[in-house]
Amino acid sequence: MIAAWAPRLAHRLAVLWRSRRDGRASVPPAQAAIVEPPPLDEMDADGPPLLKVWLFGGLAPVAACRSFTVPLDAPTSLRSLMAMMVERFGPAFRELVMQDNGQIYGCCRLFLDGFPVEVDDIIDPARGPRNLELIVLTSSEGG
Amino acid sequence: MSLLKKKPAAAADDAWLASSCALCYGTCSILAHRVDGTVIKIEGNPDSVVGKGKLCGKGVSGIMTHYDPHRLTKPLKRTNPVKGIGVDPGWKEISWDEALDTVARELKRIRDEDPRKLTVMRTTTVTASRVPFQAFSAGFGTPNFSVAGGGLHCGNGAHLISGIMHASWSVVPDFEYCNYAVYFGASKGHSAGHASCSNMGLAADARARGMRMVVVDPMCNFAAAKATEWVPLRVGTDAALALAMCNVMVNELGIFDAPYLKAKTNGPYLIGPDQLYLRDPATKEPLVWDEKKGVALPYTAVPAEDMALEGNYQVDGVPCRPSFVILKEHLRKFTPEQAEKITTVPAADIRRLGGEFGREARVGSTIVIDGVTVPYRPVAAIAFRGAQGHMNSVYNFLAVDLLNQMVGAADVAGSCLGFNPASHGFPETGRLRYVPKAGPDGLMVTGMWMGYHYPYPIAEPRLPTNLGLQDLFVMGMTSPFLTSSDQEELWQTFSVPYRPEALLNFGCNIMMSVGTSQTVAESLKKYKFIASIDLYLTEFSDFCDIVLPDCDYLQSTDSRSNFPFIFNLPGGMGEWCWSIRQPADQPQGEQRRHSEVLLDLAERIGMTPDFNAALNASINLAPPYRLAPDRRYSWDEVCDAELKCNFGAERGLDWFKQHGVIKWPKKPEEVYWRAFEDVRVPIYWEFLKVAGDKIAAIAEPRGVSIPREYYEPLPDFLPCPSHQCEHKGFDYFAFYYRDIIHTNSFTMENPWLDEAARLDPYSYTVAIHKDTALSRGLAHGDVVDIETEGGRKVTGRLCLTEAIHPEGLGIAALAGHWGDGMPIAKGKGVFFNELLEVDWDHSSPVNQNLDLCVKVKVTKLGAKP
Repeated sequence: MIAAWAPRLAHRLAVLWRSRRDGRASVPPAQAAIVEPPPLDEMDADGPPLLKVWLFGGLAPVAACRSFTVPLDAPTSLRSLMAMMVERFGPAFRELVMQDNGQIYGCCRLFLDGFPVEVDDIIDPARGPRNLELIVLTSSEGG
Repeated sequence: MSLLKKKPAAAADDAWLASSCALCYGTCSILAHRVDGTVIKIEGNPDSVVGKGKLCGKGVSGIMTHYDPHRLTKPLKRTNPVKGIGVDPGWKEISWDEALDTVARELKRIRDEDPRKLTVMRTTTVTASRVPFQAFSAGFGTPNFSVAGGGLHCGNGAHLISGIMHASWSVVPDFEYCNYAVYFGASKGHSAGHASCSNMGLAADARARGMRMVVVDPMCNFAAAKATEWVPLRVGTDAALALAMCNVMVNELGIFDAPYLKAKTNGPYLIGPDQLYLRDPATKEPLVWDEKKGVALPYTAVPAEDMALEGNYQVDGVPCRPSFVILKEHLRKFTPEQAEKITTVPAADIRRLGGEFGREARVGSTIVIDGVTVPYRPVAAIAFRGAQGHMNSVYNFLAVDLLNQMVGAADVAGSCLGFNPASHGFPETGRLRYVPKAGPDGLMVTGMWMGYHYPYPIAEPRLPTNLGLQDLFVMGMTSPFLTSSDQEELWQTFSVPYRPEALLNFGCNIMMSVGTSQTVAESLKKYKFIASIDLYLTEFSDFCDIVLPDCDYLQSTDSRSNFPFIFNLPGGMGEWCWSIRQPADQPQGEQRRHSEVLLDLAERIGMTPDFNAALNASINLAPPYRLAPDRRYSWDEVCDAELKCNFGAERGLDWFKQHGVIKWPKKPEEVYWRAFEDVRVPIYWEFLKVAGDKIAAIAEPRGVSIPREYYEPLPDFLPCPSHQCEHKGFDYFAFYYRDIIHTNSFTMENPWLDEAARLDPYSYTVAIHKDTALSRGLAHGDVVDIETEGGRKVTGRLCLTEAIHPEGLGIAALAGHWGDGMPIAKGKGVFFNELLEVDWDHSSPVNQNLDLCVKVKVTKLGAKP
């Protein structure tokens, strides 16, 4: 039986389970604000640019520091940076950010110069000094 | 009438303020009419998509809650150190400074020792409160965050499976195009739950248009009473019925959507004798059988149409089959006749329902919507609290969704929709853009969730350090072990390295909302310090050291009425919409907004930078709107930052206060995203078996046996504890159901809603089937004891009806208050949760869901006076 929507039914083909956009325009890209990173207080004019890493929430106490700096000698992956932090700050830090299989918890949020980044992203030293913020958000909830 | 058309009258103060309701988590948009400083009326806001101008009985009665003289107006401190049920705390009024100093001192001590010793708990009724409370918890550094009964009773299963299968917190029929909807213990569109009032209109229009609606439920109430057909079933047996319907469709009638299963599910993935995927040695990707080439290749290397769904194969000497054919064979054991024995639904009805669902799906059809051709599957099987409120909630819910998956009725026109899991963003800024994407093994990862603990990929189980043990039982959300009778035993078993010392609560009455009061009370006594931000003194307050008077929704500001913002947007075509909350009235007495209290506490504790960073992360603030670490902001400033960040510098809090909401049109590619995104969903849960093995490897050496039947890749019917009770005389399945005029235990204090409940024959009584009651000598109005085999007992008055399964005993809502702080609520109705055990034996070993049905004995105490 054809219901009231029948006039809107275009055609009966084998279902197309691939996208078909029919020439519609795509969504415009994000227009995020562009801002300069805040100045770093430990810059060395002659050295490589520095990455200042800020730790918040439960990370700062286990690392026993709020921030530290890392020289950006070359393009650096956030994954390698996380591994360095786990090595440096020990098992309590690792427990907060990293699963036993080495994957970073989804609740561990990373922001580079204020913008969210993924652990596989690369920090490019050519863009000068940078700020990286880490915080672990609480996870389990229902409702 | 829209906000702009409502002209100010002659009074000095006559304003209509666009805001958001908070009488339930539906958070419908409202217009509050204030005259000379008094809110005199609340209506739905027709300019908003959230509620679409409609408002339920709870919403219009909000002013009675707002002006309730029993609301707290001053901070209180207990003087009696002895805590217990009904023990007078000896409340003493104190100043805010003293109260906050006391709370901050305790929290700072704990934070310095081990921040995990703090548990934070918040009500889900005020959904926007997730932002400040989650941020406070994260900033503090505790992972112990709970919503009390919220997840245990309504969402641990529903949200998990909806997230994995539909990238969404919950599911609804696509009301505009659906022709045949089957509800398994759900009430979407009937004045409760997500998008409550919006869905009411959509569901009503759909029914008027001719959508057939079948409601599977032990009780014929709010949804079933308006349905085409009510299918009464034995409580907790939804999976048996759904799997039998699947069997009828797939095996007896041969109805399934092969192109969909090949392209959008893991149905073609090859499974070996060990129940695991066969994987490509080089890429580790699951293999599929390429029917054209006659070889096994990684799923990414084979066009979907060439993937085999059936057949037996050998790959490097290993016998294997596509997961779909394993599922297909698995379904054969769920014959309608066998399902009838489990569910009591006649086999002939099961065959008819399965056939109707399959045929109405119109497999192979497409439809053009706004110029876009999308698959058309005008059927939906949805589930919610009823089906998922059991230990077997994962399989119950998954079995229901397999009905959709078999015919491709998933996130396409007319089908079962996750509500709004794909957004292309606000056009002017590109913010709020999220779409599901492919994760490990090509399976779908949700683009938007309640947080960043996505349902898939599941985390690696580990020896737990969370009090709720969710880091071991990684598919759990809200945990029963924060209040369970065996919590200490479990913590010792798993060597949890600390114990909770402080509890910060917002609006939960956990004494009533989880389970039996004695067990919860014992767990609360273990805390050294409890502070609560609340509207009333509740039964929970008896265990608090400090109680802080909160502002309600008519006195508060929120940059969003929901978290995430789509939480209460209706599914289907229409508009995206962002609504806010703004105050229509001033605080009474010394009431303060909870968000401001948290900002103040953070400053006193010395964690403002952490709180601000957590707020930045929680709501994804981007430069230049990110909060600076060292500045103390007001909550209005935080709200302003979020709004400007998302909608542009000109649309801050003031703009939203004036305009109420912002809207932009949805596109078919967003609403019916399934055909446009290259993701698959699992009809075969290989990862569940893997997780079960890992969890068992941790738990079983410590003496905790993991029942592996819960971790099989394909759903089964697993009986609840109540199904296994064989004690003589315990012959009713007691359950509770949502009463649409009440929200949890909170609205019981509202005099208008109380009056409505007293007029309703069911709200404060115990529904029992007329025939079985009379056969046992029970009459309408009889006062009875309802007792579990464990000796838990409540008393109630019977209401005889034919609108309940003959074995059922239905109790409405969360009633039965005994405290003096909510005098209108006190003594009304039946406190069902008193019958529920809270322990390992009554919790799902997969997702920690409590079992919410219980076998009881009914004993007559006396006749109606």
